[in-house]
Amino acid sequence: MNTPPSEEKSLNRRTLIWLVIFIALQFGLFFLVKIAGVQNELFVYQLF
Amino acid sequence: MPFDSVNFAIFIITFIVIYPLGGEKWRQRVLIIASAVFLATYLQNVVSLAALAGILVGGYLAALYGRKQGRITPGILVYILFSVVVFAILKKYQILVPLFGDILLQHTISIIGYSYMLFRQIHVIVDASQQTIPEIDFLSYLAYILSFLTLLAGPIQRYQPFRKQWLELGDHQIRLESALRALNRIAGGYVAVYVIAPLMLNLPYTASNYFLASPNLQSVINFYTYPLYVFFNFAGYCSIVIGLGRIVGFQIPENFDKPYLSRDPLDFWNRWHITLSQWLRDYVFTPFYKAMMMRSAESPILWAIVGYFITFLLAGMWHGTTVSFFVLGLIYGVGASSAKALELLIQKRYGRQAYKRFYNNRIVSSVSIILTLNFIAFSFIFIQNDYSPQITAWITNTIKGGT
Repeated sequence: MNTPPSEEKSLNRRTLIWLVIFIALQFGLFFLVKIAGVQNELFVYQLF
Repeated sequence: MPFDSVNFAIFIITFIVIYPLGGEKWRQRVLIIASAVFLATYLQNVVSLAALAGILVGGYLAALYGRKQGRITPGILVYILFSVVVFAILKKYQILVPLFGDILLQHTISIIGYSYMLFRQIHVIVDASQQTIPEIDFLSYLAYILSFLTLLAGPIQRYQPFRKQWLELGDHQIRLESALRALNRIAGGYVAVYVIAPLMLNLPYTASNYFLASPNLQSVINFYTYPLYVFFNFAGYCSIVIGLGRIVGFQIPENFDKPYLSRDPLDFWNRWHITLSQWLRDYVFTPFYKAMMMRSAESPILWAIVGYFITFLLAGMWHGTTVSFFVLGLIYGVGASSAKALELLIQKRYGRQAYKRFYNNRIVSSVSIILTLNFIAFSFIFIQNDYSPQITAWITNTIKGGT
């Protein structure tokens, strides 16, 4: 069985929910940039 | 099949749905088929497929032969050297042109991820010959060399842990929390590769459109943002495959550890592309050092410095096929061997404890980080721009001028 390495502490329910939100935000950002076009440097610049 | 393509999304979703449906054998087969499909999207012609088959079978037979012999025989060494020459020809290394002309380079063979395949093959052949690989079978060897997770750009996992995890694939069950952690690595990787890296690459030009008209200032910004671009691109890619590996059941090793906080060029290589550095240490530096010490044990310091120079010269040359990358190798070689020489010199003159105090001094440490960062940023100029025509012209003029 591959369990997480022992140094990784178990996360509580609240942290897990935040982790899910964080993952969704990261993928959301990726898709946003993809849809706008990665080559669109102006967009990427303005985004930040 | 780029990682940000719709094709890859379909491929990976199909794989993740099908993969857990069976036990060990099923998962092993699914992984091999998925890797074959992934590879097939990059294969350009039948000749490339035939060459790949030859490389794979040749490496496997060499590993079996080495394991049977129980030591690295001259035959094994010749095979490894032959593999490196074939690699240089197939990758069209320009350094071969003055030696053999360009006739050898006029082929249409193209094998994606070939350099990583070669690293893994040499590791398997050498370790099998030294009996440090307990067992080797064709299917796990094939999956190890071709796994779509690490085919394109590493990290270079070793065969021993890979095979152990390969044999335990049937038992692999991922808990929700581990899956979320893995997904977080993947998501972070995507943001690094496709959001932050392009931002870093474009920043000097976009910024100059708004505030900075000076091309010199643009170059200065680019000098520092380009290394960040390379880092986010490469480390992000590694994050994606490490996360995918955890979902599938493989613990793919980490490849980066805050590289731009390195205190010297050798420290940099211990933090940047770590699995490549470890490979170079085990299969280039250590054999060279041992061989030289057997010939002349009186000069360990000299052999260590020469060993580091050769190792990092090769590391630089590996990054590309043109003369520009040879210069990159020289820069890395000089940087790494100078760092080692300085370390040994201070230790010899003032003792190890004094060196340790000096190295850990806060001011020395901060200055070292800044100097190393600038050294690495300078070396990356040769990755960003191909200066081969200028370098070749300079060499030609120097030779002509000398005669």
